[in-house]
Amino acid sequence: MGLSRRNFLRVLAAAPLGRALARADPAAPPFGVTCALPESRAGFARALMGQATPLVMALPGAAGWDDAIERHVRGGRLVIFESGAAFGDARCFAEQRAGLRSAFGLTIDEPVRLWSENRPPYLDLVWPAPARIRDFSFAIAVRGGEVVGRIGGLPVAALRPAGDGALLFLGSPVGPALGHADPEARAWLASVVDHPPTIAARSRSAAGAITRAAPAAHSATTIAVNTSIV
Amino acid sequence: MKKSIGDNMFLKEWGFDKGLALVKKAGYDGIELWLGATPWFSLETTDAQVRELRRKVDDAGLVVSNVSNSLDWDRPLSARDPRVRAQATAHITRQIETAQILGTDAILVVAGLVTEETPYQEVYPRTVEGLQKLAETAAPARVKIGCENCCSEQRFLMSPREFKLFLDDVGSPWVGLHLDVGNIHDTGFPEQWIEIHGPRITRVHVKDVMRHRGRCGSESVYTNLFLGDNNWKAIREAFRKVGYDGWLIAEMEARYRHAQDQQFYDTAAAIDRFVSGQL
Repeated sequence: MGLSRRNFLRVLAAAPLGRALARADPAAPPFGVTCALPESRAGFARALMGQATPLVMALPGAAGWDDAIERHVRGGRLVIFESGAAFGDARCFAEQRAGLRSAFGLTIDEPVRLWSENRPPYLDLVWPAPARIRDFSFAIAVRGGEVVGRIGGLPVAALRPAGDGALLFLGSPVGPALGHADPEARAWLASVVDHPPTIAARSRSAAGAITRAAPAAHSATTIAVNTSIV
Repeated sequence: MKKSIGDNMFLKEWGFDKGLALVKKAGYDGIELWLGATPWFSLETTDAQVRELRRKVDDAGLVVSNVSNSLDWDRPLSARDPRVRAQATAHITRQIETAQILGTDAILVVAGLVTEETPYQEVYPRTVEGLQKLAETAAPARVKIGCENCCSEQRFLMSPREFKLFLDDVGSPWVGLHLDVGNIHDTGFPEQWIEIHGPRITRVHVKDVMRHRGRCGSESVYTNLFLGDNNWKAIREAFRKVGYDGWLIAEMEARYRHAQDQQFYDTAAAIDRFVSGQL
C-alpha cells in the first residue's frame, strides 16, 4: 500500500492517538488542530521552503483547537494561527473559540461572508510590516490582543503575547496568497519569520512586562512549517 | 462527422422517451446527456437507473455522444471554499463514472470561474490542480475531460493560446478542449482555435453567434446555424485541416417560440449542410 508521509500525518492527526501523544510530549505539535484549507498549507509551505523556522510555528487554515498551542507560545514560539474555522464545521469553530478565549483571552466572532457585506476586498496588515493582501471571502473578527490587521473596519488579525512567545491570530487566510506568490504576502511572512528575536521587546511595549526565557531553551526543536501542520 | 443534440433541449412535457424519439426522427446519431439539468439524470440517479437510460438510448437507435453537466457554475472547481471544490470533484467524478456506463469516452466541464470575488490569479492554479487530480480518475476510465471554452461567461482563458498554455500546465492527455464554436463571440475566430488545438479537441458544440451584439442585457447573442457571424466555411476547412472527424453537438440557446420540435429538424439539416460542405 502506498501511503505518503503527508497522508500518514493526516491519519495520525485525525486519530485520538494524536492528542495522547501531544499530552505526553510538551514539544509535540498540536495534533488536535486540523487544516481545513489545504491551499493555505501549501502556500505557507511554498513560501517557507527550505527555511528553518525554530521560533515560528504556522498553523494554516486551522480548524479546531489543541492545548499544545498554548505550551508552544508560552515556551517562546511565535505561533501563526491562521483560522480556517470558516471552512470547517460548527463543532470545530466552537472548540476554537473556547480554546482561544481560555488560553489567550481572545474572543472571535462567527465567520463573516465579506462579499455579501460589500466590504473592501483587502486585508490590511500592519505588523511586523505593512501588507495589503486580497481577502479570502470569509473573515473572523477578533477582539483582545493588539489589532494588527483589518478588513475595512473589521479587526481580523491580532497579536497576543503570552509567556515567552506570542500568538498571531489571523482571521482572514493569507496562505493562499502566499501560494500564488503575492509579493506583499511573501514579504510580510518573511518579516514575521525574521521577527521572533525581537518579539519580547515588542510584547513588553504592547502588553506590559513579561518574562522571557533564553532562546536556547526552545531552539532545540525545529518544526518546519510543512511538518507542524496537521 | 456525427450529429448529436443535448437532452437539455427536450421540453419538460416530452420526457426522455419522447425526446429520444424526436432526436432519432430528426436524423441525429447521438444524444448528449446533461447531468444535473434534467429530472432523469441527476447526482441522485443510481447506476441501475443510468443503465436504464442507456437501454433507452440503445433502443432508440442512438448512442451517447458525451456527458455534460450543468453544475459547474454553482459548484466550480475553482471555488475558494475547499468544500465547494470537493463537491465539484465529486460531480465530475460522477460524470466520468456515468460516461463509462453510458458507453461514451468524453465529458464536458466548465473548468474555472473568475468572479469579482474569486480572482483570476487564484482560479488558474486551483483549476489546474483540480483537473490534474481528476485526470487520475479519467485515465483508467479512459474518459476524456473536455473543458469547454465559455470564455465570456467564465472570464477565463479568453484566447486560444491562453487555453493552450492552460492545457499544457494540466499536462494530461485525458484533459482537452470541448470546443464551442459559438462561444468565441467577438474575441476571436473559432477556426483559429481549431487549428491551435487540433487533436486536443474532444467534442464540438455548434451554434451561431451574433458578434455585433456583444453581451448586452438579456438579449442572447446566440442564434441558429448560419444566422450569425461565424464563418462556417472557414470552420469546416479548419476541421479538415486538423483531421477532426468527431461529434458535432447542437447546443442551441435561442429556442423556437412555436413548434419547438421544428428546431431539432432545422438544426439537423443545417449540420448536414455543414458536413457536406454545401455552404
